[in-house]
Amino acid sequence: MRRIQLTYQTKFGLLFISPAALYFAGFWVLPVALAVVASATDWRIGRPAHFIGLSNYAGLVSDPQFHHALLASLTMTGIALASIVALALVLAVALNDSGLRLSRFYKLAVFAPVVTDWVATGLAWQLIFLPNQGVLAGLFEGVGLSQWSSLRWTSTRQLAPLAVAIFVVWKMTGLYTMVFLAGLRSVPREFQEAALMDGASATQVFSRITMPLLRPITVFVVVSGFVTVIGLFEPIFMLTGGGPADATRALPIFMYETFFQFQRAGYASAAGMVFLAICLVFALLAARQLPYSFYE
Amino acid sequence: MKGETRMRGTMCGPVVLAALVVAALVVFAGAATQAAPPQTLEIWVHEFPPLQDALSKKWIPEFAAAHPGVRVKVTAIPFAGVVAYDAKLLSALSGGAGPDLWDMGDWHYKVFTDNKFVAPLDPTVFGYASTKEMIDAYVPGTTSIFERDGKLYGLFSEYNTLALFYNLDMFKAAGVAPLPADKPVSWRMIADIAKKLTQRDSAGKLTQIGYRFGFFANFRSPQWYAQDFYALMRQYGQPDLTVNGQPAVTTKPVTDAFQLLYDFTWTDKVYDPSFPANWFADLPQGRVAMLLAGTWFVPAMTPHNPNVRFGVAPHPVVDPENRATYQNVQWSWGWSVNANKPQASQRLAQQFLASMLGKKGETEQAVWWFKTVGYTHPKKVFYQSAGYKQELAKNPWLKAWESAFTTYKIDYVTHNFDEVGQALIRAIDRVVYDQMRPAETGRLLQAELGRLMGTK
Repeated sequence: MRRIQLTYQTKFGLLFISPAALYFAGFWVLPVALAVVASATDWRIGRPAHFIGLSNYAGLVSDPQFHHALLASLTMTGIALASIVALALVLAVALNDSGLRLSRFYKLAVFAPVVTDWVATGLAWQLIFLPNQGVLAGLFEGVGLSQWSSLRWTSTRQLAPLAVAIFVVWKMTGLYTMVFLAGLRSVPREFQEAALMDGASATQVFSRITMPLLRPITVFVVVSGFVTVIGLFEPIFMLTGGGPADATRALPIFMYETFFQFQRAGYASAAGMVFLAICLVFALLAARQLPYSFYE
Repeated sequence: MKGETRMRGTMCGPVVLAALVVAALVVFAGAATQAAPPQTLEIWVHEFPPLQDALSKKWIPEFAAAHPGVRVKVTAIPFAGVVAYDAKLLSALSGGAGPDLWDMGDWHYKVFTDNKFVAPLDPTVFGYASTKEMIDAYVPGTTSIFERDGKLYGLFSEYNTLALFYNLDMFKAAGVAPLPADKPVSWRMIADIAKKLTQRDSAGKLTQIGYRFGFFANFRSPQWYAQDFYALMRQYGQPDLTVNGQPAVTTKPVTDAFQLLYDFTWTDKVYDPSFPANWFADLPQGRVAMLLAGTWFVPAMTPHNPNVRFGVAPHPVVDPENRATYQNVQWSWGWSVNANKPQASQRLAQQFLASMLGKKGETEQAVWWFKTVGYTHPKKVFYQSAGYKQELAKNPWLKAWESAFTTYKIDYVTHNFDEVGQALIRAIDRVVYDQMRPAETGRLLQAELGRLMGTK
């Protein structure tokens, strides 16, 4: 039997990644494996579990509450993610301008929400969305749109998903702005300069040169943003609590309630598995949009 | 160099010795501290400022003074919302953790006792010879919610029912006479009065509403959805959402109950679930003219609104001339002890309870709770006490509660914090948010209950 000889560097490499690998195994692989097992049982908290095969998954297929939660998740994630990507890109392009004065200040301002706490900022956003007396209401009054100042952002089912999405966009755009900014800085300038010399307009350079070269970054932002936003619990909890009338009862809320409130741990685990599958499928589909890298 | 080395050698000894002495002192000090650790009693309560004040300003300091070395830590958790008190309590106790002592609604006792989260109370800690004697100290039947196999698994934090509060200044401004205090009025009359009390500004924006149900957009409490609906459903003649174990929500009484919610919201336009802002501030601050609440409403609203003028009337009914419609709901909150904690912690928790709720024959604690927080402990000696009678004389509005238990048929709601309760919430929301017709929401609820109960 041939013994595998590891080089000195490989051994060191393994040593260095071992804490992360152990963390990943203990706090990701193991819980997911346990959830897979639990999803095939009728486990209710405090009672013994019995193997029931795929019954929980079959239940989810015909469960209107699960469908509603899925739709609510996709709606809020769709609104938030599209806004985050567009806004982050615009901000990154603006901040990438070498002639921009006070650029450090702007970068700080854009990134600051990222390092704040969801709960603390959630309280602030509750005040911002307050009808008639809130910050947003004041802004509407100020610009002559007083009929909008009484909008009940968090307590009407049409506006509540939008309110949650606005909060998420505010909190997360800064992070992806920095990612885009790093991407823009790594785009070889000679390509852009050559195009300009050949008579291309700034818009053409951006759409034909910069954006294609930013594609891997964009895919990363979309995948990472999707997985993060769809799993968010805190902004919904802070602003709407899943209401009104279940308008913002997204998948994380559905799973939490099913597990803890209704004690249906097996069923909630199955929902968690579907949630994981959605994220993986989305990531795989997005990864297929990466036909080439920066340097090809 | 040699001399230097020797010098270092001679200095090293005392330094090492001193370090060893210091280390030994630290170790001994640590051991001494460990030998007598301060005992911590952890308490969770639902967020209700008068309750938190009662614990932090009175009962904990008094208990700590009588039990040196005991630290009492209180955590107050919001009552409504996703990670609300109930869910947090359930998740903590399910994992074998949670506080030593907590308060919780009557709806949890069955599940929590089934799951052995709750420890039986030791009657001797409360000065009774047996559990039976302890149960007999309360008004007959009231402790049944806490009883299992001859043991008591909880003790009253509050025992309550609903009456109608209204803002006298808003009534006066609208030219409406105060409601009778001795006889309930009809829901129809409430709607008619509420129409006069609902106002909009010149732009059509609501500035005040005539009536507020206990649930609204910013307060999605399963308890309040259920309480409001069950009272109506029972007044219309059906005790529960099921009949003989089968879902029965397309019946006339249930449809009529949904219809009343529909009429208040859409026909009479006196209730808007998006309008209320704060459970305790809406009425005293003139945003809501009428609402149903328990005795604790006054201690909760008056500290920030000392000049509020309010009236109290019996719970409205479908037909004041028909005694069969005199139906109201009751609820209890109980204090319970964590069965997964060590015996010493359980005993300490019970000692704290005894000091806070009173031992055999004591009434001063119950009177204090009633007077300060509005919580009733249905002990026989409490109702006979001079303190209780003085409070009734001082606050005549309390008579609405005294008479409620004899005038109405009062019972607990059956479903609120479970999946059936959630389905009911969705059905009510479809009416008050989406303007869905009562028969249609009843049909959808019937289908959902059928699915949940496996009786499609």
